[in-house]
Amino acid sequence: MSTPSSSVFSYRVLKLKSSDGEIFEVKQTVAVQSGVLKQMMEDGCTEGEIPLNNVDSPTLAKIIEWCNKHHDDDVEGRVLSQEKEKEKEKADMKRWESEFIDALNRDELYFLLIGSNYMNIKELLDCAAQKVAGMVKGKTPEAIREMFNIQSDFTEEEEKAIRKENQWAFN
Amino acid sequence: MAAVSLPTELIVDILSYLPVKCICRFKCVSKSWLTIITNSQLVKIHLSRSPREKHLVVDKFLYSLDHLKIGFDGGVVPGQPLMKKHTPGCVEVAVYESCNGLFCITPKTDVYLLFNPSTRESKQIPGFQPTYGNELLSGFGYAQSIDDYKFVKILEGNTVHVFSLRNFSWKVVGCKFPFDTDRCIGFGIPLNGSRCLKHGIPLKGKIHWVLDKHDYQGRVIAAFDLVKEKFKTLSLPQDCFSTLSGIGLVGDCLCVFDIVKNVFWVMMKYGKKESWTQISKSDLYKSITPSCFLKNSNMVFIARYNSKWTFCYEDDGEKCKDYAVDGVGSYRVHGYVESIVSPNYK
Repeated sequence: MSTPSSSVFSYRVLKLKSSDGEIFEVKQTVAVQSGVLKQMMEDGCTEGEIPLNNVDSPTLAKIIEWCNKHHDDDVEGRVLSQEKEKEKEKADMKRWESEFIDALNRDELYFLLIGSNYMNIKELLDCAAQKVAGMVKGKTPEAIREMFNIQSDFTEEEEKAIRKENQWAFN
Repeated sequence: MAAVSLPTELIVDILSYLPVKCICRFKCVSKSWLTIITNSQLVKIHLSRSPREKHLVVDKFLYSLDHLKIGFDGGVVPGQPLMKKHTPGCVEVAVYESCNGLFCITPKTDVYLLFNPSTRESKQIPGFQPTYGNELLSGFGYAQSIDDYKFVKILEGNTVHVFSLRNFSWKVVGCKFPFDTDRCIGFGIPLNGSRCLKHGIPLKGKIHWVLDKHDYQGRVIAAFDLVKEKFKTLSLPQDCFSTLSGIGLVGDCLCVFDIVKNVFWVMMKYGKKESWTQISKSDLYKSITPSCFLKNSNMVFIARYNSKWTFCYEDDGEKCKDYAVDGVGSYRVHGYVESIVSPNYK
């Protein structure tokens, strides 16, 4: 199946519109990391501005920064002859990822989780979820309620009973 | 207080990366968290995140040990029983191989409990009538396609009784056990006591026993399909019949071993006779009977040796850890993965 060359050209860059109305231009080859955008490209409906109602502009900027770092359209141009080189690149990427994630505050991290989930960017979602899991590990239920904005809806007796049943997990 | 609230699917995702102990502690955060934690979606994702492997030490009581926390200097490891009250009058607990971290255990004759050592939940399997006849073989397994755990008992008279955790009831299946019961010698993992020699090995929705064929024509592996509830046979490797000492799992493959010849065979592709591959062990393990295989790490097996227990690693040379458990004398071990699979499974 052939596509008119003019439309291929015009689709090279996607215009993403954040929830607060800012426009971000992203190369198709980068945007393809988002399952949602990839599907839209395949369906041919990426003309004009693409509204991302669940993602604000600071979060979208972060997401695009991640995707730009992870896109590999020039991989074919490079010759990675040495296994060692590949290993090093992998390690460098890991370091970049942890620095990227560690630099975020809690709310930024939550918005990033919501955004990457909404746009279906699996690697970013996994990375952010693991970061939050690391923050949660070892915490008390009270600290969890604070972290996730949760009010306990157990009665005092109910909570006592569950705690008693799982007493070993509190030691 | 955080300004943002995360949707349930993201909470599930975050929890799926946590150790079981954390997850159990978070049951009292709120009603919706309790629901998330006991929901099968989290149970499955959590299992898929290559969970930590531990081993269950079985004596009069049950203990859990994490081999990664035992150093190469070994020594004596403290032992804390997992449940203290489940076995009144029990001398020794019999344990079936675990599936997804869930065990079937027998604290005394004809009493069967489903037990998850990671969450410490247990539940009794109801209503089996011992008057049906003596047990020839038994086994516990999981079938992914029907998402059900089943406990199987084959009795004298060749009747096959199956307990389904999903239905929470027993039934007698249509097919009879198609082997000669006089020559029916099961080989579970040895050292587990004579009762456990009859315990089958679960893999790919089937339970496996090594049996003598009719008419003394050698041995086969009998596989009971938990979905179809039928038997089929798998061939053993050539020339290993006479001195075969046991059957077990290495990773996701069946293996059989011969401790006299110090040889293992692994069935690399399930059901393919030509895929049996011989792995020879170094003399380090000679005459050590493996009692438990662990899947994830580079560890091959745990074995008993000179009244202590030994872990054997196989990468970059051979390494062993020897250890004993404080206050526990003679015991057996079973590997399992940490999971939140509940015996109160629906």
